[in-house]
Amino acid sequence: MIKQNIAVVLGSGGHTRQMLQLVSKLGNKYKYTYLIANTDKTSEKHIKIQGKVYKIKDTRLKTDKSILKIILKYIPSTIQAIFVLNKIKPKVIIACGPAMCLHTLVLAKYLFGTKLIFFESWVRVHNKSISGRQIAPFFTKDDLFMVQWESLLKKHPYAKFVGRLG
Amino acid sequence: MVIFVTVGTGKFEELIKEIDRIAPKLKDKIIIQIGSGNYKPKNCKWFKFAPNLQKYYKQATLIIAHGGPGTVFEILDTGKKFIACANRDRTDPLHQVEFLEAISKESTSLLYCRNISQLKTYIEKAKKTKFKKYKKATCWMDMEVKKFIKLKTKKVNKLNILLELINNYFTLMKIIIKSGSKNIE
Repeated sequence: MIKQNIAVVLGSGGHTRQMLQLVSKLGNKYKYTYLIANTDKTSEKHIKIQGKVYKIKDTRLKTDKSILKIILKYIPSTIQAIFVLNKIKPKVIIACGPAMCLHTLVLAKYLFGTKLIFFESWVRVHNKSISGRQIAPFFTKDDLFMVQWESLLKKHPYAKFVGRLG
Repeated sequence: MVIFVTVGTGKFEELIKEIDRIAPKLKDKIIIQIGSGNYKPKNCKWFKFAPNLQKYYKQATLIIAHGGPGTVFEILDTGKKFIACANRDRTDPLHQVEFLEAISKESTSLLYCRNISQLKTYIEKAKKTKFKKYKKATCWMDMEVKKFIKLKTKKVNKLNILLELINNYFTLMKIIIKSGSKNIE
């Protein structure tokens, strides 16, 4: 049987930790491909279930939020993401933030018809995360949006409560 | 008694200064991981980073940490006495407060120190109380994902998809630029 292709967007720090916990729970049944921000040096070492690793230019905005900076960061990153996604052609893509997952998810969905999975981080108890708020409008019935605290369902009514990792 | 203090990769000067201040009164051996902060403690042993903190967790009887969930869940697994303080010096200043409020309501395996100036009373309280072992929360996220992957997708017209792509990509950029100019509150 052919293993199904899953693209996994690793964030950094806590995002990576949660994501890899989910991947190890899902197990060896699937073929994983990891997308990592080029500024992230530690995530790659933590990967346990092997898979190809692609680096994409980071678009995380920390303090400088001018429109010019946003455009300059997103254009190269978008082109890179299209090439990488074209190589993988994933059936499903999983992400949990931060900024780097946003355009990757939108491109995957509308360019390759990939199904999207997004879950809010385990710190988010009552309030949406920044990436969660920005990506939510693109989620339709064919996609899966999950939260890890039941109280967050008030803010994300279309989401599914799935218990908590960790 | 050995007390180990960790603040993760960020900086949390407020906590380190307070511990350094009360250290002479405590008579305990204190080790601090100070992260990327600039303040260097005078009354305790300290280091900046370590690839793995498990060694230090094992030595310690009491652990004091910031409210980063990665750190919090790691320490809860060790079953040691544990005090957590929310670090407000972050890009999103309230998320650790929110998280610690919720987790300390749910579990008695940690003490949440709301006010860092009262840390000493919390340490004394922690020495006296017994901490229950942390029960992991249930999680069926993987089941949900597996179920979702099995679902079949409808096939859509390719030209339509391309138009939608362009349309949606620009909507995303608009959202990002809008929230960018608003800045983080």
